[in-house]
Amino acid sequence: MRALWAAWARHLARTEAPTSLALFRVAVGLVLLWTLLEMLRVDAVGPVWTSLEHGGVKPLVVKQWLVVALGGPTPAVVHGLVGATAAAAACLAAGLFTRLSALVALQGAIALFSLHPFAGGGHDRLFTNALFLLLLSPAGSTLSLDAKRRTGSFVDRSPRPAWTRTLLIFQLCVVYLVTGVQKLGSEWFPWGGASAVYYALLTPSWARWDLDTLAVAAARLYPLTQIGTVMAWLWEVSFPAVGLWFALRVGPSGPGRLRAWAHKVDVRAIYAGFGLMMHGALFALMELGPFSLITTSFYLLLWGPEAWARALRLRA
Amino acid sequence: MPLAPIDHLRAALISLHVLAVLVLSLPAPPASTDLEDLEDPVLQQVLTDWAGLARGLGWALSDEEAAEIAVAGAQALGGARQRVAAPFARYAAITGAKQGWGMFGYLNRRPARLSIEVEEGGAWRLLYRARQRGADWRAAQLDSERFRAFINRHSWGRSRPGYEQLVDWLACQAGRDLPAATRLKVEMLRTPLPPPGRVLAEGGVPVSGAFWTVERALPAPCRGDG
Repeated sequence: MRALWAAWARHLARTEAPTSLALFRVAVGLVLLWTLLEMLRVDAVGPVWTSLEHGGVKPLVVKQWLVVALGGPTPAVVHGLVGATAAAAACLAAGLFTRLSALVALQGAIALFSLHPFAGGGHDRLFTNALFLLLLSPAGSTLSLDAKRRTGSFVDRSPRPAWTRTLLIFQLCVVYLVTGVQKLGSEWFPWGGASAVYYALLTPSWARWDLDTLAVAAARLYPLTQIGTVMAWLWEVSFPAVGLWFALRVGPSGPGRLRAWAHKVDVRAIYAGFGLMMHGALFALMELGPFSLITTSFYLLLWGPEAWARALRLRA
Repeated sequence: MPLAPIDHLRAALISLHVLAVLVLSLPAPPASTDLEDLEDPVLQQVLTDWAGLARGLGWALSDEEAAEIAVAGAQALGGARQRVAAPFARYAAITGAKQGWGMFGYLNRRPARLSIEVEEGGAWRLLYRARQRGADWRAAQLDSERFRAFINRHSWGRSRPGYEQLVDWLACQAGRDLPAATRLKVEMLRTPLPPPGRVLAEGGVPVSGAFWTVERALPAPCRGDG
């Protein structure tokens, strides 16, 4: 037990260039900014996030401390929060006053997403979890205006604490595992015809396109949707294999067959490849807001700073 | 390399965060779940399917027994989760570390679509129908994801008072956008999702009736500056 604890503590004390975290920071900032601007574009901010007496669709009972302190979900408060959160998201993406930006974006997002509990989704929680760990991370120390101000270069590959990257990958594993094990409808299984993807695509609340057109296309591709159903469920419940793969990769190759295998097979690339395909299909066919974009932003963390430095041809 | 006290402290705090995430991500069925909650036809279908599977495997389980097991399980899990998650609730509220990842756990195979019509010059005209090309009044707004999320509750037949508030708001908007309109009709169209063969035979998803048909006179009063 003691050895296990020491290994855990040693792993969390590890440092690396924060390139992966920086790319994740840029992605989260941009996706949050897009989400808020999109709500403004379609004029959904007032109807969804202000209370009935101020012109909103529903009466909102708000207990969140920041909204209460600001005076409740009035148009001025809500639009002020949207403006501040969007500005913080833009600064976060640019890496300008990064920790302060992450803090403002986090508290703004928590406040906004708390306003109308039935008008949100898992993506809201993905945003706030990401922002909290970004706040604690050195994500602003490279690929940022902060790096430029501090060192004269946008790139600073000095090693920094890497534990937030570990926690964010852990969070992604939890999301997929838990959503997978909660899929209890028989449509997800062979005895229910493995028809879940087909019926999900036809659900009017989430279908992106004209329902009849989409339904005919889905019906024609029904066997493909059945394969997609089985694959998606297996992929979700087994996603922690990616976490296990990372654990096995720590240290030299061997001893142990599993460890040697982990050094040979890139499990992460297989899972990320399938995930990109699945989220791409979700984004194209269903309107789930920023869900696919914020989830796949986490994939940037699956590759370490060396891989990203090679891919982006970054110099130290 | 020996570990410093700060390394142990860091590991302890991070372990607490990991524990919070694990506990908060446990499925959260309401501890107050009872048999009445299972009257939802969609849930009934889930239970029937699982009971059928159990019978296929040789366990003589009736639908009623399956419902009782489901209620007992939900109450036990919901109660246990409530107790273990309570100490982490404030932490999650302040840090944004809330969890909750139930997505498409079971599908609503009998959903409904929002439909909006107005009366102009004595005749009804279709203004908006969810996911129907051509019926696209305020579609950018009504089709946006957060609108869809709360309208989706009504698609399951939930929250009639919330639906009436939505109709009031729609009536206010219609009164402003369409000065010639005299009445607004809003309803949820029953759209049971057919199997692929029927979709191909009928060329789409047929509508089979409506519920919560509500009318308002126009122009309707608006609240606040909405």
